[in-house]
Amino acid sequence: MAAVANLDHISQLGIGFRPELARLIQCRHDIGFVEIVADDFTHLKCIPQALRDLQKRGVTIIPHSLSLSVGGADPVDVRRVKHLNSLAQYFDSPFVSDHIAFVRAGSLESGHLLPVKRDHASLRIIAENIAAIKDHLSIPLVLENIATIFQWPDNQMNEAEFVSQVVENTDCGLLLDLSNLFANSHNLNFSALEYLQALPLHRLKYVHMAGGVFKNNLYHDSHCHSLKKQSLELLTALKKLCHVERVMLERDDKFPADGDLELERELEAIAHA
Amino acid sequence: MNPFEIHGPIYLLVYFAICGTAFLLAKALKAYLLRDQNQTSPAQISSIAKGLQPYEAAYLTGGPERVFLSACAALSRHNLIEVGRVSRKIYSKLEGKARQVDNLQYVEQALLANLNTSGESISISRSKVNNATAGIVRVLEGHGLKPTTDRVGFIQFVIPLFYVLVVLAFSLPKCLMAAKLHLPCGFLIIESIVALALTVKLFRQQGEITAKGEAVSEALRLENSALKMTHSTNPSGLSLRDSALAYGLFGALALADPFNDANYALRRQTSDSSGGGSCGSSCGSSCGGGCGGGCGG
Repeated sequence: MAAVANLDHISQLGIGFRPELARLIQCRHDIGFVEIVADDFTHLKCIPQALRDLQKRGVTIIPHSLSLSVGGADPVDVRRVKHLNSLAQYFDSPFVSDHIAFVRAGSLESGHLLPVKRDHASLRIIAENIAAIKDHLSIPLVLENIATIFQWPDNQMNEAEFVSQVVENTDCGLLLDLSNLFANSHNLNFSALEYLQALPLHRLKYVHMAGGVFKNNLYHDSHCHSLKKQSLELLTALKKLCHVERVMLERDDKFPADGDLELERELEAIAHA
Repeated sequence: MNPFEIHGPIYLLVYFAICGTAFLLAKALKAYLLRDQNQTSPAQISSIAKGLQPYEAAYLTGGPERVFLSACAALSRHNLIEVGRVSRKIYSKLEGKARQVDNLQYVEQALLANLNTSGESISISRSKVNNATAGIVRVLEGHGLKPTTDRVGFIQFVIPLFYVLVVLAFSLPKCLMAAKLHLPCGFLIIESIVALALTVKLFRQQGEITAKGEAVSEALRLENSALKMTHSTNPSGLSLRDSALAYGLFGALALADPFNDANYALRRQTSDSSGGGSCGSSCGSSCGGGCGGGCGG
């Protein structure tokens, strides 16, 4: 029997597609969209039958990139953009997404999403990069706020202002990761609610939620621990501010064993937050 | 024209053509007997596939042995039994609480029924599971996925027999004649052996299924692509039922897997027992009573 969450407050419930969760996703008929990590599918031939089945079922598939490095000083890697675009065309996706971050400098790959210095120079660089990306994209680009445990010195604006200016200046959609927001507000000590109020929420396309862990007084957005109530409270607050079209759960490791309904409970909690 | 009047390499070619034709005829006859008489639509195939239980799907994929291995692997994966690769025994991990486990299918119940913590031999366990597959066979025959027992007999014995007779009819008299006249016939013997080897390879398959069965099996594999992904990356996240279906359809997708343990133990048991048999017969002729201790061990 497929589990189905009662979607009272959001239009579509989603989840990050991972092979470990493929069966769970197949069995849940309340999943309206899945996000795939574009970098995992190096070629269209790599697309598994399970994803094609979901598409046939009417599930929206959103390619999510980790490697466009929109905040980087290096020129945009056109090959990556074209790959992202080909995935979007294959799945007839409404948009694609990446992060407001940089992941490489020179020939070095960081292997992690790194924060951009929040100043006007960075805004110009991001605008140039996104213009170059859009030249090769046939659908809209959506940008996500990242989690970080440090920030560059001499930032000229706070994160909410910076994210707002990026999406407004570049005419991009907003992917709001509420768990990243909670992590940053906890670790860098600012008000998450004020952050939400400062965002251009008319640009909001979808929301990420993920679990994390408190360690040494820091909150780590691990994607392999349980979803925290603070993230859910932010979702409730966000729903008061605007209509939230799509919300999804991310889980990248420590997948629950048989009989452990942790993810089911989290999806239910998201649907009812 | 009498083919026996042809000699030398030309006869080898003629013989090859005769055996090839007989082989193709036999294959065509087999395909005809296994055809989908009702030309079932893809929607009906999909519907049948969705209605099959995990061990029915396992039987369709690999016959009774696949059912046994899948049951061992699924139960072992859920920590209900343990398969000893070396001891070739299956141990219960329930200590007499088997009946407390919910949602067991009858194949699993048959396997667990007489197990205890001191273990049961893998061959006895397999025979118990085999006995429990009678119901599965009825279901598959009912859907037309497996030929009836009579038809299986015809496919597995009569067709190969026809082929063997053709192979021998055109080689044996020629070889006897050649032996009588002291003429060489080595290539013909080799050709005959190759032709006979094909018989074993192609007609003695376990768990014969119909064309409709093949289509359902293919549909099951396609429709369970998501299950395959999770089975290969997070097998402990699957329910017992899903584990059984995954093992039934896809077997083991990793080296360290209880499916491979059971398969190893089963193969070892089979090869040991067949080794014992051959040892017995060779001992009988070559070393008489002197090998009793060695062979028995």
